Amino acid sequence: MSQEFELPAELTIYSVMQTRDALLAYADQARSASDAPLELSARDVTQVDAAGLQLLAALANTPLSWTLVHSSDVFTEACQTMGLAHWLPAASGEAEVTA
Amino acid sequence: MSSADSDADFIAQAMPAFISEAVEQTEAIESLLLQLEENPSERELLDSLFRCAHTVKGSAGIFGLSKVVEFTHHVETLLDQMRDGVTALTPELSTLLLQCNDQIKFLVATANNEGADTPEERDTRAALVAQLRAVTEGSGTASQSVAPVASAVAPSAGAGWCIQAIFGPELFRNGMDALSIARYLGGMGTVRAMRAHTERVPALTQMDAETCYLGFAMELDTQASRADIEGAFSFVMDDCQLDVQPLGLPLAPAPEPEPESSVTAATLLPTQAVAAPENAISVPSKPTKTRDAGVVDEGRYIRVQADRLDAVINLLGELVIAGAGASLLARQKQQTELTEATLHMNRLIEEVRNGTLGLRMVPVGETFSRFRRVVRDTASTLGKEVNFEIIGGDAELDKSMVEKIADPLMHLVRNSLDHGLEPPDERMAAGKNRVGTLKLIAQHETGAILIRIEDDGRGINRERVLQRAWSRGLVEPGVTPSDDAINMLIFEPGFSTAEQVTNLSGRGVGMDVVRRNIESLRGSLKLHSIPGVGLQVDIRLPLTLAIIDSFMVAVGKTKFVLPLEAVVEVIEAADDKVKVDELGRHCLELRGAVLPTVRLRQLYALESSDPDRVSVVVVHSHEGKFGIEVEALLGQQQTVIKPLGRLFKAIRGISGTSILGNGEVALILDTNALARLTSSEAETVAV
Repeated sequence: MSQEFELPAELTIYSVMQTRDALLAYADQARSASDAPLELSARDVTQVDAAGLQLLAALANTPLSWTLVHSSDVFTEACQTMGLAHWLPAASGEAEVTA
Repeated sequence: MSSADSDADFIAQAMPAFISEAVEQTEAIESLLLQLEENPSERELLDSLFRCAHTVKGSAGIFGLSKVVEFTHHVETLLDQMRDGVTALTPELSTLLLQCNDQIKFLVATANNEGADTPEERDTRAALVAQLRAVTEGSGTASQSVAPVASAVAPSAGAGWCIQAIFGPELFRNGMDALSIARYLGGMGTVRAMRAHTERVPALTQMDAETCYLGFAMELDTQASRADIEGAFSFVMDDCQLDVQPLGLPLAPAPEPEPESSVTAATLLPTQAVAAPENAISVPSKPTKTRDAGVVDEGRYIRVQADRLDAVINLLGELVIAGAGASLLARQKQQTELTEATLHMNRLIEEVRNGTLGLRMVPVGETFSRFRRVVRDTASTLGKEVNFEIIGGDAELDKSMVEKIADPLMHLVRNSLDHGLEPPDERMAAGKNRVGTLKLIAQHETGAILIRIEDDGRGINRERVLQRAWSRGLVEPGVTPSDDAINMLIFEPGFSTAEQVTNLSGRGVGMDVVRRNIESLRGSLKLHSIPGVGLQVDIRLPLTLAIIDSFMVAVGKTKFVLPLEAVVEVIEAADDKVKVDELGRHCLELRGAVLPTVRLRQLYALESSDPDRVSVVVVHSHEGKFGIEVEALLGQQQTVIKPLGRLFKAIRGISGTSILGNGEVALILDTNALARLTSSEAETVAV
C-alpha cells in the first residue's frame, strides 16, 4: 500500500524550502515502510517554476526512485517546456524515474 | 508640465550618464579590438565587441541620437558577421573598425552639440560607412572562416539555433526563472528538442533549495536572429553561461561547466573540437585574459559622482584633525578612560579614512590600455616593429593621480618609440631582435607605486646630451657631470626642441613638463640607461595625496612633518658629532659611513635656544640617505595635507602644510628637495 506525496499547489521558489523538508520527511517515512518507489502527485500543482522542478531533480539524484502518479495541466506543461517530459506519467502507464 | 517637457527634462538629466557610459563602452571596444588583433579567433572577444556596440546603439536610441544609432548599426552588422564566422578579421578590417570606433566616440562626445559635426566629419563618416558596407554586403558566403565551427554551416539567417545555457547559482535569488526563459524562447519558433541538464543538482538531502544548479540545451527552429535569442537572456547575463550556435549540429551531451570565465563554443561541444583542427588555438585552452582585460563589467559597480566622493574625503580629513584634537585634550586632562576612548575612536577614523580613500583607487591598467592604440599607430607610422607589454595593470592608484600621470607617461612612451627604439634593420645589424620591446610596468612598493617604462632600444646617447647641454648653457662647458646627472639633463627646461613636444589634448608636453607633473604629484623620476641596450624610466608616486602618515619634529617653535615611510631611524647626536666642512656643509658619521645632513634651524633661519643636543632624523630619499637635524621629536601622527599657499610655494624643501590637532600648522618637508640641499653650499632659504 503506497502513500502518495501531494506536491503543493505552489511549487515555486517561495515554497521550495518547506517542500524540500516535507519531501525529505516523507521519503524517510516511506523508505522505512517499504522499498517501493516513492509516489508523487502533482495533481494540485497550479504554479510551478524552475526552482520547483529542481527539487524533483534533486530527489532523482538520490538513490531513491520515484514516480509521478498524477499531474496537473500546469505541471505537465512545465515539464515539457523544461525538457523533463520523461517524468510525466506515460499514457500507457507510469513512468519510473531513477537516479 | 506636459509629457514632452518631462521627457525633455529626463533626457537632459540622464544625458551625462549616457555619455559617460557610452565612453566606457567605446574604450572597451578599442581595447577589445586591439586584443582581437592578437587573437583573431577568440570568440569571447567578438561576442563582447558586439555587445558593446549593441549597448551603445540601444542607449543612443533611447536618447533619440539617430546619427549614433545609424552609424553604429553598420558597425554592429559587421561585428555580427564576424562572430558568425562570415567575415574574418584582417589588419585592414581592424584599422577600419578602430577608425569607426573613433567616429562613434566623436558622435557620442558631440551628442549635445549639433554644431560640432562639420562637413569634414560627415564626409569621414560617409566614407567609413561605404567601407563597412563594402565588406558586409560584399561577402555573401563564408570565405575563410575563423569561427570555431568547422563544418560548412550556413550563416544565421533563418535556420534556427542550438542554445545551451548553464545557469549560475544566484539565478533564483536574483528573481529569475529558467523555466520562463525556456518558455519565452519556445515562443520564438518551434522547439525541435529540449533537454534539461540536472546532473549538477545535488541530492535532495544536500541541496540548497534556493540555489540554482540547472542548465538546458534546446534546438529551436526560428527566424529570430542571434541577437534576439541572446536578448532572452539579457536579464541573466551575470548568472548564465550561454552558447548559441547555428542549427545543424547535434545536441552534445551535458557539458562540463567552467568554474569562472566563460566558455568558448569548442569546449561546450566536444564533438566539434575534433572537426576543427585549424582552430586549435581556441579549442582546448580557456580564454584567459579576456574576461578581465577591458571588458565592461556589467552590474557590479555603483556610479558615483567624483565630487561627492571628494566632499566626503574632505570631511574625513576634517574628522582626522578633530580626532587628533580630541586626543590631545584627553591626554591633557590625564583621564585614562577618555584617552582610551579617543584612541579607539581615532583607530576607527583611520579605518574609515583608508576605506574611503580606497574608493578613489582605480587600476592603472585601464589608463595603460589606452596607450596600446597610440603605440600601434605610432610604431606603424615610424616603420618600427614593437611588442608592447603591460605588466601589473591591476595595481591601483588614486583616480586623480592616474589622470594626471597619463599625459606624462604617454610622452615617455612616445619618446621611447621616437628616439629609443631603432628601426628593424638597425636592430638586426646590432644583433637584436627585429621586433623591439616596450614594457609598461606598474608595481606596488611600501606606500608608493612604481611605474616603469622599459625599452630595449638605443638608450640615452650621453655624448650628444652633454654636447647639447653645453651648447645651451645648461652645464658649464667643459664640466662633465656624473652619468646619472647627464641622463637627467633631458628633463631640463630648454633641453627639448619643438619637434620633441608631443601634442596631447591640444597641449604641448615636453620632458620638462613630464618632470614637473611628476614632482607636483610628490613623485620622483629615475633613469637607468645602458647605451645600445635600452632605457628604463622609473617613476615613483605616493598612493594618495590627501592624508599622510607622518613623523613630527620641531625646531624652536616651528613644527615640521616628515612622511613616515621616509624615516629610517633617529639618532641623538651631541652637537660636536656633526662636522662642518669649509663650504658649510654638514655631515655625520654613521656606522662608518658619512651621512650628509641639513640643519633646519640654519636652513630656515629659525629662532631657537640653541640646545647642545641635537637629534638627527635619518631619512631616505631618491638621492640616497641623509640626516635632518632637529631639536625635538614629537612622534607619529596622521595628518591631513593642505596645499601650500601661493606665497610659500617657492620655499625649497617644503611641499605642503598640515593642520595639527590644536589648530597649529606644521610644514611638510620634501625629502627629495632637502636631499639636494645637503650637497650644495650651506645657505639660508628665506621663509
